[in-house]
Amino acid sequence: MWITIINLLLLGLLWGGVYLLMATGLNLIYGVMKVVNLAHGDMIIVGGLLAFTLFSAHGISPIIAFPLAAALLFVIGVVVQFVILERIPVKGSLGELRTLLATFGLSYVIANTSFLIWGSQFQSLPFLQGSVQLGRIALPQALVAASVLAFCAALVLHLWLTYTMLGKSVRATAQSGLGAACCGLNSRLIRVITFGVGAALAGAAGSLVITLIPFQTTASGELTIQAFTIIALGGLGNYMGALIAAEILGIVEVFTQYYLGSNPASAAIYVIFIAVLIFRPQGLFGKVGRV
Amino acid sequence: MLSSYNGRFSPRLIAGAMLLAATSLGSVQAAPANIKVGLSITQTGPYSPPAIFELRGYQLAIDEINQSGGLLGRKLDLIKYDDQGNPSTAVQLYQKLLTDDKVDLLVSPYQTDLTAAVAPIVNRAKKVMPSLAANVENYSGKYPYLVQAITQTPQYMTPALDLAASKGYKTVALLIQNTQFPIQLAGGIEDEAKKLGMKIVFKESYDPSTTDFSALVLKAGNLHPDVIVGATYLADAEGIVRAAKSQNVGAKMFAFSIGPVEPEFHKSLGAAANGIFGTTLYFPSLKTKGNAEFVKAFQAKFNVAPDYHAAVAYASMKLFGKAVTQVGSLDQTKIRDAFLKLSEDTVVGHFKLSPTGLQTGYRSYVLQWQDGKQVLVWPTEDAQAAPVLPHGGWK
Amino acid sequence: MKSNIIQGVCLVLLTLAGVGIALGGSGYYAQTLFTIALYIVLALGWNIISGIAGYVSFGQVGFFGFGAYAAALAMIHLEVEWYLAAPLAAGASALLALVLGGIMLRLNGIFFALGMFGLARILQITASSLSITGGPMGTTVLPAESPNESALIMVLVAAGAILIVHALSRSRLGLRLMATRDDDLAAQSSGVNTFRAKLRALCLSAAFGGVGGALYVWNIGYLDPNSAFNGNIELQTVLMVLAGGIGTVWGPVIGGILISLIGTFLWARFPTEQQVILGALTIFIAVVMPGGLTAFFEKLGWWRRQPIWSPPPAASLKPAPSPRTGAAADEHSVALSCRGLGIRFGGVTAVDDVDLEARSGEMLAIIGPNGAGKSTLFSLMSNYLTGSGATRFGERDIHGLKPYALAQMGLARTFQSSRLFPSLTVWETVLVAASSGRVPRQTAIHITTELLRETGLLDHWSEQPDTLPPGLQRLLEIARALALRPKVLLLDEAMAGMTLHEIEQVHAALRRAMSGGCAIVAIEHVLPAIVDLASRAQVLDFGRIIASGTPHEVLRNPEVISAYMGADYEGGTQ
Repeated sequence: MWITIINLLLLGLLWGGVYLLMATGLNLIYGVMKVVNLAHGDMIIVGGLLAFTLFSAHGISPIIAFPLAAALLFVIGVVVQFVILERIPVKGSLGELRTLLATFGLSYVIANTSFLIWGSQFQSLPFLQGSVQLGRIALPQALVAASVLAFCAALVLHLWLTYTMLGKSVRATAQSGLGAACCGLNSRLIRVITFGVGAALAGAAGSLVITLIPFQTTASGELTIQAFTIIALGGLGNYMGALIAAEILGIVEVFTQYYLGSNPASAAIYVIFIAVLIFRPQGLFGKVGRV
Repeated sequence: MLSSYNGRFSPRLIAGAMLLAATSLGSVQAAPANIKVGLSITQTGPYSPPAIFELRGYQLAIDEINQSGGLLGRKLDLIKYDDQGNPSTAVQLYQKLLTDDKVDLLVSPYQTDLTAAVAPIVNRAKKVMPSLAANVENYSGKYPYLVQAITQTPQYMTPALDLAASKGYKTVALLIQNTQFPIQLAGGIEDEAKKLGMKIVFKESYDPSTTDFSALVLKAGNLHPDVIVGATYLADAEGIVRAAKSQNVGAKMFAFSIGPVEPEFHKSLGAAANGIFGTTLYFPSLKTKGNAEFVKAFQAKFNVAPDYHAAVAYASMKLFGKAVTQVGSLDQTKIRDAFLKLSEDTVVGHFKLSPTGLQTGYRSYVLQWQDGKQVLVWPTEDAQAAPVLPHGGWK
Repeated sequence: MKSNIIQGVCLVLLTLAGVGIALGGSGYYAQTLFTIALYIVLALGWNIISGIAGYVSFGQVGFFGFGAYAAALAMIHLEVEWYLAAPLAAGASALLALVLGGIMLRLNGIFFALGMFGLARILQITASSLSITGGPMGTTVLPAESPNESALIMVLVAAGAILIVHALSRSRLGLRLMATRDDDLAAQSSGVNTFRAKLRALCLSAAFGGVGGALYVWNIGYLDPNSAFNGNIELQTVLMVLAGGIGTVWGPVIGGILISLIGTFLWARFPTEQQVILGALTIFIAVVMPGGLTAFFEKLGWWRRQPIWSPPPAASLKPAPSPRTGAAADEHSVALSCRGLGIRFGGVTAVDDVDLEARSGEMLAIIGPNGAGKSTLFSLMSNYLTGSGATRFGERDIHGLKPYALAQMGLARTFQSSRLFPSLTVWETVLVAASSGRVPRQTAIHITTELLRETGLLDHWSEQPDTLPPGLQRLLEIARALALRPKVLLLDEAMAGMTLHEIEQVHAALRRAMSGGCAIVAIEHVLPAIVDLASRAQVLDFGRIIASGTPHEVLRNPEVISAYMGADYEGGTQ
């Protein structure tokens, strides 16, 4: 029995790392611009399907596809922010609604475009399908690899935000847009770069996750909700909080699936989401949100 | 009718002659109008790939019928709309087909739930519809105008269980996607298992949105079943195989309903797909009536081999033509009766209906991925190669 | 009046057209009409919570599916016909909203929107797991005889829905919802129980969704979790309201018809690209014309929203009613008393052990340097913040009472930076406060008219606050506060930015209020503005009272001078 519990725990922790990568992009964008990118799930899927095409048509390994997907999505993100979102003034609640609706529409544009390119069949790719033996416990190789890469990416992001000038500018803009502008920072450029990086992180996550679960162009909503739950649970804009929340989600899902069955596991994320909203809307580590 | 004839050109005579001339002129001028065949199909949306194969099957059948002179001396026109996999859209479209386009013949949409949604209006309009919905509810007397042109769901995996039983396997773990088709399919599996004396040691269903099966497969594997069976579609079949391989959960046989039959199964799993069994209702290598020609014609027209969706659609359209020809008119009730009496060999197999329209003739077959190719392995009389059992383990 | 007539005629014409098609059209046209009418109802419902109340929700489809299942279950297990099942479903959905609203309405913004989405998803999973709902297999009911029948009913229901929304937009509840949408806090300070208003909006919105779901099930005869909770329904609904004009009555109707027609066209021509086009359309509208077609018409001058209960009556001879809580209080009795008020923020003590009294008919001035904690003190006194100490309003300890309740009891306040309602007219701004609680309509109209006349704002009654100069905006805020007929009025730097003329008008209004028994506490920097009015003053520095007395005494107090000017200042006071 103990073996099973440790097995499940490890699985949950590994999945947590992957979930974290899937959520970080959303967190970054929200932190700086207070915008929830509802097209986030679609960007993950695009990154994944790109990796799929590179693999099945050209035999390129997902490890190489990882930065390529990130680069492509970076460009897409930059264009979206510059062309669309910058045109919406973000004052007051109407501004929030408009950006929300713009990303809502964007989600459908990206999903349908992906459908036109890749069709609607589920796609995945065979990569690192074996298992890593730890005594009596067998862990999926692909999951271990994806998780390790995810943690690396999170670390790199953290270092970027903390020690580079650009990263610090991003954090400054997140904390006070007006203050940052007064210091001479080009807020528009920072926003554009931030959205680009956020999208890039989503694409990179997709290229990893498609080795674990198959992607379909119409199934992006679940991914966005999951990412949002994680960052809401951890406290919007809080990176350490997101890490802990991702781990909690991973562990809860795995244990629920094992002990309660798979149907409750699917509902688990929504239940957690609602519970967070009811009892602690600021998340575990966040400041009190606007009420 | 001329009421009096006295040798002069009375007005009535002239009028009558003109009327006669007009009608005969009319029937000479107007060529016989084409017979309209209507349907809605899932062209976009998550389930479009198999639906498009169905559409192609219909199209090929219609082309062939037209090439050999059409039906009742008239050519067939196919009128199709995209229902996007949405039941209320399908209902709207079938309304359109019935009242606006006024089609002569109706065939069914792809998804089971769409067929269930349009069944009431089709039945109310008293139009016979050969349906490709595999679930049995529609054909139990509620909708007399629906006839089933595809293998019924509960029979899908019986051959796979027969194969397992023939090798002496006793214990089964059953994983079921919590949607209409897999649930009914699982019911059939349980019945067959009982008949064969096999024991279901694990049975769990999962939400269709489940993407990671690690914990579920682990749990099933801990009971060390001989056979792991999935009532699945493609994504979950893949997910289960992935979870089994990456956690080194083994069994003597892995079999899935839908999943291995799709080429993407191998694309996504690579070598892990080898050795996995799947279900199909049809295979290009079958020695059924007209199959070799069908495969050749399909390949020539669409550049891809036909799958079972295309085959059942093709067969149903061809049988439709046969029923209409037998009846000699477009009388829907008579055509429906003709369907019920049919006992025909088609590319899919032997077509025979129960009195309420349930398909009793068609069967299913078992395929296995061997060396990156799909091979028909059971029943032995149709097999291309022997099944490779037990499963070789995950290397 | 004219606008009402035009709208009425349009409604009748549309309904007749719909009925005509329903009765005479082919099955296909009837079915299409049904779908359009259904979406109009859903769009109107979504508009109530997301547009009028300003609480964007992505969960309307949840109420739709819930209503559909409720109706289906009623028809199967209770064996009722559709005409009973539909109101049952509407009621059930409203009840669900009532229960959920208590939780969800505590959130706002993206939390609320996604929370509602999550709820819809949970409902879907529940429907898929329970056997009573048929699980994933779904369930069937006896459908309508023909689509014509259901289309006819749907058209009539849609017409009814338009009438209901129209009535709402002219009603007290509509006024309160719009005020809440613009500024929740300011609405509360004007006596609006914002939570209850939002809850009512949510329930109404849910009822619309529920009745739509019920009629949908009756029309099609088949229901499963996928079609009941289909995300496409949500997308279309949102797009329709956006395109037509969010927050308006006819916007959802126009948008509903327009988008349905566009959708049908796209189906036929571009089935695979349909969602790209609709998505791009959503983006376009969100960026370029967020107010939809209605805003466009407004810009062209073709259409203007009619302010609620307007226009103000021409002349009035009756005197203004007395303060709302009964006969005028005795002169100089204590209306508000505070003992030991204090609050800390982290390590900073913002307000430290403050006692004060406000007496009826008098003004107490609170002065002090910037950052002394004056506004914080006001927030403590009016329960916008909770700290230590006690405040009594008359005889009553007001601890724990919500700001809107205090406002209704007669404790009014203004804010340091103007909190006006951007989308309401001057008339409506004051009307919100005048009609708070259960004040009868005519009384509220009377109060509003008189106040606007007294403050010289009557000529601007149909303008919106952003067109007013800042002095008049402050005046408006004071008028709004006075519309509560308060026993105690807290003015927070109310006269900042006013011209001398405007200050005189304010003085006149304040004197009138005081002579009616109102007690006023005023924070002010513009000392000449209050020196004549205030009978007493207290000085706050670093959260503590450092001097009390008449204004003249206090201004000569050396401690006060050094607090303002620094310890080394040598000049005298002005």
